[in-house]
Amino acid sequence: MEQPAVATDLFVLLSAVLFMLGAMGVLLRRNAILIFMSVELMLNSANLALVAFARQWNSVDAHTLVFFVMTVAAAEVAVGLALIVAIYRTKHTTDVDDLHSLQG
Amino acid sequence: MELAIFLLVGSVAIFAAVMMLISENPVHSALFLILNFACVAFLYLMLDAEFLALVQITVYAGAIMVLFLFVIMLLGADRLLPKPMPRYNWLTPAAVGIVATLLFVASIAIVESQLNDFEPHHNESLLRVVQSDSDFVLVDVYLDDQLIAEELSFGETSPFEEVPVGEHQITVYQHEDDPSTASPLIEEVFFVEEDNATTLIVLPAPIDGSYLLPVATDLTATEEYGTARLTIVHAADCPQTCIFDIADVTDAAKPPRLFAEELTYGTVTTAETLYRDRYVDQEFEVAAYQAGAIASARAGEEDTSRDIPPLLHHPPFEVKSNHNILWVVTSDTRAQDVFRLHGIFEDVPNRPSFGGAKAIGESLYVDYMLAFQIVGLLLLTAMIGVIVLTKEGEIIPRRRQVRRMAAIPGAPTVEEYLAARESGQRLPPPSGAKQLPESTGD
Repeated sequence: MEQPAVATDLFVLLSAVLFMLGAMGVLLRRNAILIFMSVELMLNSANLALVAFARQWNSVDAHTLVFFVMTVAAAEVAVGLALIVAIYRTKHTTDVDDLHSLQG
Repeated sequence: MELAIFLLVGSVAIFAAVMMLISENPVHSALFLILNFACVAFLYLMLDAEFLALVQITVYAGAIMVLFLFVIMLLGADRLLPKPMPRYNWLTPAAVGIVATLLFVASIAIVESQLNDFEPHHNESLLRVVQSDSDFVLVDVYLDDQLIAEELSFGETSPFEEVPVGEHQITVYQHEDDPSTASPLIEEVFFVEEDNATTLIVLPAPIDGSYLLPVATDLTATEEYGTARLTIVHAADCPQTCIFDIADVTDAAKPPRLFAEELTYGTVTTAETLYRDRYVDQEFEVAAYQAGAIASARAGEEDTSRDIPPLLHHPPFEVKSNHNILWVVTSDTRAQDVFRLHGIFEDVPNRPSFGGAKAIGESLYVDYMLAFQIVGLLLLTAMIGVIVLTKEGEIIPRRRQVRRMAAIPGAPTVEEYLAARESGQRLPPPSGAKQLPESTGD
């Protein structure tokens, strides 16, 4: 089998970089909506790695898994944003530092 | 070139991710995230995942990001600006440190693991049998001791069976013969290569008996959409040595177009690509001619090749996209002493192309049906959850706690009390009223 023009490890490296940027976003941003966006970024980078491995192994199973991840991400975003809207109604903020009523 | 495109798109993706992180305005963040998703979709295209690239654009960059923007706008973008003083000052350097360390470790792991040296996964090897020997009425075909085709009559083709890689003994028995006692009609050793599809043709031998002719069948997806492969096998043991020319006779107005010449007994043509959209009604006609007949008809002053009767003509068949067509030219009257040609025609779909919607659909509906159902249920639950969460909460007033006292034995009813009051009598107040007699303690 001939080697593809762009090797798999480059894609995986790019995916690692994007994942870490997403992780940084989750840790650093205090806005709940931005934290959700960063989580999306992390899910996406994981998908990218899966698709790269799918080409490497010539197997479509990983594509199916990516499809499932996308579905779950869509569900998660819908529920998460609904939560943010519900919290905003009562607390009038989306800053996660201000949401500490469960801190005990 | 491809590497340059990858580097360009990859750096745009990283740039967009960084900008998403540091943008003050959440709307800008969302727009940069859309740019990042678009870059990732482009990378999917580079990785032969066309279907996922489209889903990425529609679902992620489309639906999900619209949802994000909608919520940002709903809550008011200006009010979401970060506060000037973050609560935890130590978090920024700590997070950057942790993430940088993780990234460093991950990069070393990726580079050191030599991902590119892994062997790709192989598809199963497939085998089918075409019975083209009219001497045999019904045959069973065994691979080692395993029955792979049963009750094959002349002209029939068995479906593809998955077979393990390696050397195998293939035996053909008369139908209903017991393989442990009966002697086989054909017995041959055949090597099954990996990631391969083979058609075994039961070929009548010129004088007596028969043998198996393996024909490598290319079941990989055709390069171009709307094309099919046609392979022709000469399996007719003519009384005299007969040689065929194979021609495309779709257009009756034009002379036949030769695409395989001087086909001798036991040979296989190279796969001819049929372009679906080039034929009227997508139908294609093929015919076998005596070798040289058409060429000599063309050599004359007038081209009379149209009028030459073909030795064997196959009725028009529909060219289906990404299909593999096999036409075996054989004779069906071997037992009698008349020679007549007969065509065995077999049309099977190729494997779906990697990363296409068809391949993913097959994977979803065949291998991961249960997971697919569960994810569907999850989406439904999420939908219901969202409706419940965002339902305009009418504040339900707490029920005023009116504790109805148990009726005091002997106490008058309201009607009795009112009647007594009207007539000037004094009665203790009815049960449930404010002034109740004090409890006696027991």
